[in-house]
Amino acid sequence: MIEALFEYTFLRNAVVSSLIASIVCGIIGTIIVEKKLVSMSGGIAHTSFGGIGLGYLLGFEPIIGGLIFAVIAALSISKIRRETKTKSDTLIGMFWAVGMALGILFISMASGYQPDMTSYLFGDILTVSTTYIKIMFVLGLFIVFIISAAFNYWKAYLFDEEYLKVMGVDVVKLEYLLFILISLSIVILIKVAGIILAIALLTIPPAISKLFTKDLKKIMVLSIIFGIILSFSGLYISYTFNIPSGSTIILVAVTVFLFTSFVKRKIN
Amino acid sequence: MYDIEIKNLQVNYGDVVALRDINLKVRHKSFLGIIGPNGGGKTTLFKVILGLIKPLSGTVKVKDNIKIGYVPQSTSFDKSFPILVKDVILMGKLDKTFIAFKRYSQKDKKEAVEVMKKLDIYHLKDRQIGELSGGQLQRVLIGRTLVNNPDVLLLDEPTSSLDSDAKREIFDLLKELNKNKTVLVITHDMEYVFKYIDSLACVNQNIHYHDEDKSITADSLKDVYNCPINLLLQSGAVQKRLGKEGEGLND
Ligand SMILES: Nc1ncnc2c1ncn2[C@@H]1O[C@H](COP(=O)(O)OP(=O)(O)O)[C@@H](O)[C@H]1O
Ligand SMILES: [Mg+2]
Repeated sequence: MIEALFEYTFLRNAVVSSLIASIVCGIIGTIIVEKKLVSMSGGIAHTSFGGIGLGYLLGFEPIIGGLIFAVIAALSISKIRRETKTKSDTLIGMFWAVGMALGILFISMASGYQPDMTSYLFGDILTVSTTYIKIMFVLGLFIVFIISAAFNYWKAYLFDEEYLKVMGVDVVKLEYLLFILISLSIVILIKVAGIILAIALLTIPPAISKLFTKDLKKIMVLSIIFGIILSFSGLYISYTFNIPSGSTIILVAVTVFLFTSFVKRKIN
Repeated sequence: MYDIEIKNLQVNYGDVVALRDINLKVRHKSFLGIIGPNGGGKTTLFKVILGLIKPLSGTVKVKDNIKIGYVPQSTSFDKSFPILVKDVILMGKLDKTFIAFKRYSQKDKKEAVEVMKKLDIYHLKDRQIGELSGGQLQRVLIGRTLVNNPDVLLLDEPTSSLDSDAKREIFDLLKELNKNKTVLVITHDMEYVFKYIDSLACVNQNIHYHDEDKSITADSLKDVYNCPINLLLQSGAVQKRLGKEGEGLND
């Protein structure tokens, strides 16, 4: 595989995209887990499918459509929840289903050939284009910048939002910003793991890291490292045995998580 | 001039009335105990004072240039959150106005260390907050607000679920802080309330309030006595404190 790496652009793109995805997952995944936004993130991911379908229908880059739908979903859920006191679970469920429904509808309306949607649903890291890599890189850089520029604020926000509000910090802005970052991460992950599997890639590395440390920053750093190891090994296995990359990465990750927590329990 | 002055306050959550007809004046450097049944609106009262909740009507006036410190109920956040004691304390030092990549200054860190030493939690600085005893956790929360050197402290049930030694330690600490700060404390611990405070309010949608320097007399307690927590008030500690006078309460 190593020689192939130098020879084939698609393999290089696969490696670079899993690297970017691992960094984003380590940071945003930790936040999602600690702020208990897992189902919210699942909702955003599935809503983005509507945008992907729209992209196909109107003939623009589907990922951009997915990005717009994801951001709109995130901001709407946050705003509606604040203003109407509707339980966010209910809202998330609605966005989730409507997004999928719209996606399927748009695609069926598109004339000509029916595109294969499995690469969006389950990811196909071996078909990541150079354009998509560029999008991933820019979004990833933005996420890393925003989180590290205000790390102490994020930590305080995740831990005790109300106290931050008492101190006079604009918590609503932080929430909107965070939800936008989550949407961006999901778009980054769509090609790597797919809409359906993205959530696993976000949550498994922090789950493993939390077995080793109780400090937020260390959980993020460890999650990035685990993410890189897991996605590279998944990629290797999937390339070698010619099986779907998204599923392979996630199954490898879950296996490592189960094994690690089992060993950890035996030691303690 | 009072530190806090509340007039004809009403607070609703949707259609639910949480507080009504609240009038309260908090003197500078007083030590106000706030009692009342669960769901009586005690926490809501704090949140209105802090500006977290907008009242339906009435006014809350906080003296100009006064800093309010808040110690929330320890059930209001997740104790398993991966944050260390020192980071919780430093959180109090965050600036309202955000500057990118600004880290805590040496001065911030030094003050955090001083506060931790004063509260006897310095040796716990690298512990995750879930690994503390209830009393230690309370002192961390008090430390977080003390780094700002507030003039008024609002503490929401700082002694619930502590053992009696820890309760006494917390109240001793509050008494010490009360030397140069106004202290408002919500509590269910009647024995301690009467030993430490100089004024008392019972909040149960409305407020029964007593404020007179130093002593709490049977007469003043009568006001409070209208509060439906009278069973609590009949505890031995209150009777002892009031002596014979306390008997007058039963009419
Ligand atoms: N966020 C909220 N939304 C709706 N009702 C609330 C909310 N917070 C508190 N309440 C209600 O307001 C009343 C007062 O609550 P609270 O101030 O927490 O009482 P206490 O602190 O005295 O136990 C209760 O009936 C409670 O159910
Ligand atoms: Mg309360």
